[in-house]
Order: sequence, then structure tokens, then C-alpha cells
Amino acid sequence: MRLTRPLERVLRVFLTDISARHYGYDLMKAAGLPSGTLYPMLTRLQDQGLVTSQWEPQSADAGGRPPRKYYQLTGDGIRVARLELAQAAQAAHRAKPHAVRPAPRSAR
Amino acid sequence: MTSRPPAQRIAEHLIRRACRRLPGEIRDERYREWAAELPAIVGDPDIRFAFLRTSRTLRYAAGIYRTTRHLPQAADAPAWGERQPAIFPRPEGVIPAIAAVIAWAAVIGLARAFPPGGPWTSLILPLALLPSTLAVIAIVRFVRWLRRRSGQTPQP
Repeated sequence: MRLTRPLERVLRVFLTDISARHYGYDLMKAAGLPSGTLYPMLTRLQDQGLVTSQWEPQSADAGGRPPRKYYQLTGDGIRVARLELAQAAQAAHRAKPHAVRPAPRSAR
Repeated sequence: MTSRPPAQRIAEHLIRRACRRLPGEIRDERYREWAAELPAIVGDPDIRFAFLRTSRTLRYAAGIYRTTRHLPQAADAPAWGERQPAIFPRPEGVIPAIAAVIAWAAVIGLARAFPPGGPWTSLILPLALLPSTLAVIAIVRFVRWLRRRSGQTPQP
């Protein structure tokens, strides 16, 4: 899995609360991604077994709106997402130049 | 009589059209999934103005329209994140070049239609500038495209 910036954002949203289920528009808003980026990504994650989807059961409190499809990380998805984000954080930390302040010269 | 807002109906139409690209076994499910998001977007309480909600709704549908080209299940989909290589890549600058030719034809037609010496004579020069500008844009874009293709463009 190649961790792109949009994928990183989606994984972070999922990992915020691993028990939460997200519908498409909810993820779009939380990750700040357009539908044209999000849905192919979700499909790919689902094909890789990292994300599972489930239709919302039809309920009376839905106010007549059609049932939504909800997405959630699988156990494997949680493990991979955490690993990928940790590796990305490590890589970012290594890439950051360490500011070393030169030792003050002694006055002569 | 339906009570759905026009933006939602247009979006549903776009999504339905987009789903026609998908294989039959997933078409209906995808349509149900994507169309089910529309009420949440049209009535999004976080977006204050109605025109912004309309814009968001239409952009969502347009995104779905693009999505069906990139979904792995689409019959002619390229790999995820890759663009389908064009067999005959269209050079840049074609559209301004065509516009320049049309604009030139329009200017020549107008110049012939109206006899010289009238008050419209002063309009000819500014009008003639339009096709010239378009031609310059076309040439610049074409040259840049050629340089990019030959790999001569210096990397920033």
C-alpha cells in the first residue's frame, strides 16, 4: 500500500475512533476529500480487505431518507493503518532537518 | 410530484449516467450508495448558504462521474491513480488555435459585411486583437507542450 496524502487523511479519520462507522459524505467532510478521490480509494481499501462496508438497516428515525452504506476499518485495516501512519511519521521526522545551533564563540 | 430540490435531481441524473459505465452486477448497488448521500449534502447544516450546498451537491455528482472511470470494476478503468495513456496525445494549444481561426473568420466577415468608413471602423482594431491574442496563447502553449514532451523543460 502506497501511503498518499489523501489516503493518510482517510486512515486518520478511521483511526480517530476505530469503532465508528462512516458513510461517504461523512468521510469526505472529515478528510476534506472530493468524492472523485474518496470512493476509488474506499473501493481499493475494500478490495485489499482493509475496510468493510455495511448497509444501514432501514429505520423509522431515518426520516424517510434512503439507507446509507457505512465503512469501517477491519482488524487487519487497523493494524496496517497504524503501521503505515507510524512509518510515515518516522519518515517525516527523519526528513526534517535538525536545527543545530552553533556553539557561541568565546569572546577574545 | 416530487419534493426533492432540483440540485438533487440533477445530481441523481448525473450519478445514474455515471453508473451506466459500471458492470451490471454492481451498478444498482453503487447508484443506491451514492444517491443515498445526496440528502445529507443538500441538507448539510454545516453549510450555511443554499447556493453553496447546491454547488457541493453538483461537485459531489461530478466527482462520482469521474470516479466511475477510475473504479477498478469499471470495464475500461485504468489502474488506480494512473491515467489512461492517450494513443494520440492532444497537443496543448489546440483549443486557442481553433478559437483564433474562428475569431479571425468572424472579424473578416464583419469587416466585409459593414462598409468601411462607418462608426464601427474604430471597433475593427480591438476586435482584431482578440484572434491575435488567442494565436499567441496557442503558440506559447504548443511550444511549452513540445518542450515538456521532449524533456527539455527545466525542473523547478
